[in-house]
Amino acid sequence: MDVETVSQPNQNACSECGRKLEGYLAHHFCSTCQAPQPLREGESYFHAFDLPMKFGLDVALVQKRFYEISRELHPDRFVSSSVDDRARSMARMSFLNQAFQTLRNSSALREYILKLYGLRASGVEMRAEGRQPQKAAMPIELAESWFELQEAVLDDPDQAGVRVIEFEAELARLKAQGENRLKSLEAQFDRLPKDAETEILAILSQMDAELQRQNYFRSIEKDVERMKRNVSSV
Amino acid sequence: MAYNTKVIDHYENPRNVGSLDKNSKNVGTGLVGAPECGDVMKLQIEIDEKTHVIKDAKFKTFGCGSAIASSSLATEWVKGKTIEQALAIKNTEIVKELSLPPIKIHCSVLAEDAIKAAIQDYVKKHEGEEKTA
Repeated sequence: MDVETVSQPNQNACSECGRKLEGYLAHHFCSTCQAPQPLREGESYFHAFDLPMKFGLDVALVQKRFYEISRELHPDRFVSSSVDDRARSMARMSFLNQAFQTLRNSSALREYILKLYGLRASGVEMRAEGRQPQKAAMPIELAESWFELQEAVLDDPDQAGVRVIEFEAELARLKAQGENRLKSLEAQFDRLPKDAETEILAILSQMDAELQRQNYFRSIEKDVERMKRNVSSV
Repeated sequence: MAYNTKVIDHYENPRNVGSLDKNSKNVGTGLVGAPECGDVMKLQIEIDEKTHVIKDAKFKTFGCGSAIASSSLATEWVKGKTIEQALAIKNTEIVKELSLPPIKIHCSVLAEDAIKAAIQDYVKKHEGEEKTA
């Protein structure tokens, strides 16, 4: 099992008793004085689970750690603690929940890693920083067949059924191709050393473009569903 | 969301809807799609080969009111313009004319892209010819 550790922000010492903290449990609370640790600046979801930043996470391990840490941070354990400790355990628990929901879900994980590298700012934020939001290259063949399909449905809704089915197959094929490319980019990212910033950004930008294409496919899919309700022969 | 009256006008009375013969040498066809919403827009221009002036323009758009209005306006604007003048049309001018809200800016971008794509198609058809103009 791949459990290389990541560098932790100021994780070495307990915020209360100053003793050395080690391991993924100690990241959340001190095993010596039992104090829940405050959320640290720059602490990521990967830090919370003491796992390296990568796409190919061992989801079973994430889940196992989630249960173990949750048990330690359970509010019942802090009923007689100080207000500060209770607040910290709550903040930790809520952070851990978000982290778990993100790391176990492959599309949430993609969004999260892209965001950590500044590639998921909204268009408005990017323009404010003087950057141009990346424009997804739309597969032109798909735009063409999508246009033709809508024309055909408009001309003769009763005869367009077959074409709708053909179009859906084409859409599914393009989606699957894109997903394969995303998987291969993920694997490339996971293999890179974390200081290879240029290569990392290049890969993540490609992923960004692929994800936008996937969004585009999904919005067309929804339109096709709507269209099917009006086409009697499907 | 309330549409601006100019958008509604273009939506209800779209100018230049239809198509030109895409196989004609003097016709440039631009088909573009919006990654944000799945809208697709086809804009065609017919160009006078001697003067390089856009004689006619037609469009067909499957999309929201703003996308239809943007492309309708684009066909109005390109008519009578030279290729160079048409290429200079910016999406921001469409935004201004139609008072498009921020979430509909991509519709105007689509219209600008459609003009450029149509011109590109025309130019491609005439590649390798001796430039007389």
